[in-house]
Amino acid sequence: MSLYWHLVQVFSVLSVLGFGGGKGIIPQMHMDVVDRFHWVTSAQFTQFYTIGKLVPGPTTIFSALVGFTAAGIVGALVATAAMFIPSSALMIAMDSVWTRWKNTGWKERITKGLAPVIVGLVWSSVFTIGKGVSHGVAAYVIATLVVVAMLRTKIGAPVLIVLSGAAGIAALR
Amino acid sequence: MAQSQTLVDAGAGVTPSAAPPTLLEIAAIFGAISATSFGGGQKASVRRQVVTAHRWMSEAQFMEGLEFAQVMPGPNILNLAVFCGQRARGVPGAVVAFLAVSLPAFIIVLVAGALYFRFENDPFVHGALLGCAAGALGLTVGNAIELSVDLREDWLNFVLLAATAVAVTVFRAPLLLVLLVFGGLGIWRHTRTAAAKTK
Repeated sequence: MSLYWHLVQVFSVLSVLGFGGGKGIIPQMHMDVVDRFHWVTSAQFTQFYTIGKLVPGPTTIFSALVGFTAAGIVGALVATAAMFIPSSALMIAMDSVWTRWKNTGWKERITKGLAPVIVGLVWSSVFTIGKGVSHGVAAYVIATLVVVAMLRTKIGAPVLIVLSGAAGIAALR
Repeated sequence: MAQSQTLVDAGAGVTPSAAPPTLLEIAAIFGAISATSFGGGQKASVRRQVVTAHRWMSEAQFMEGLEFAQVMPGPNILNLAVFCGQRARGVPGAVVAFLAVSLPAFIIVLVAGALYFRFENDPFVHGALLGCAAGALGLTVGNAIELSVDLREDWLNFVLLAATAVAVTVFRAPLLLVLLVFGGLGIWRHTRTAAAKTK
């Protein structure tokens, strides 16, 4: 029982702190689910995050896989519910407040004020995700090529991940 | 028909249709968008469905909802769906939109996870997974670079960015603390800039 309770605690806090579309919560999630509760290893965390990027829908749906590893199918359900319900409930609860606030400039203040912090958290996520990537020249070459492809071409994220997988079969097996 | 479609597409001033959508329609529209949304482009699909095709709301109402979805915590597509569902059919509409976005993603990720656990030790799959992980790392770096470029208009942004990254990566500062301290500073600064502009 306390396992489910811990899942609820961890993911519902991440849910309501997921500003900027949830891009900034990866380092805290790693601290909770890998370092504190040991539900998954660093390598699994990175693999699950990768699957989250590969499937349609929000990336943070990979919480389901963390929950599954911690506590089976019920764990998957509990983690996903805790990840998605609190932020959605806030949307419903704040709707009338937002209607009153929409022209007071708070939207600009919050998004622009938080933006540098969210981007700092994304840079921090690079190190978080990097911990679970196999070390070696081949992996770094693949990562570098993906960065270049992402910035210089219009190839979509899932395609780049699939191509990286093909390169992995050739180089990292 | 083609002409009225063009008028509707032009957006502004379009009155929402009189009949609100059924819960089933909400489920069908957001389920389809969620299950086919591979990285980006979802906002445009939602706009096309709820403003242009089905006229649940005006362009102005949609833009208001989009801003709201981006300010609030949570995935943008999920927040936007909940907003549209609520405006269309109240809380039941919001709940249906929530389920329509999250259930397909939940099922698909579990299937992907099942395949992962079943085949992770196969040498080919293992190599592919290591390659995919390296690719995901690259995507995160690319994302970080793109987002950093967007901050270039103000050098103080980079001070907050660096302070956050160091606090979290090196000193393992909790997310709540970082948002309160550095986020609070950022918001305070923009409050002052906004006040200076109005003077």
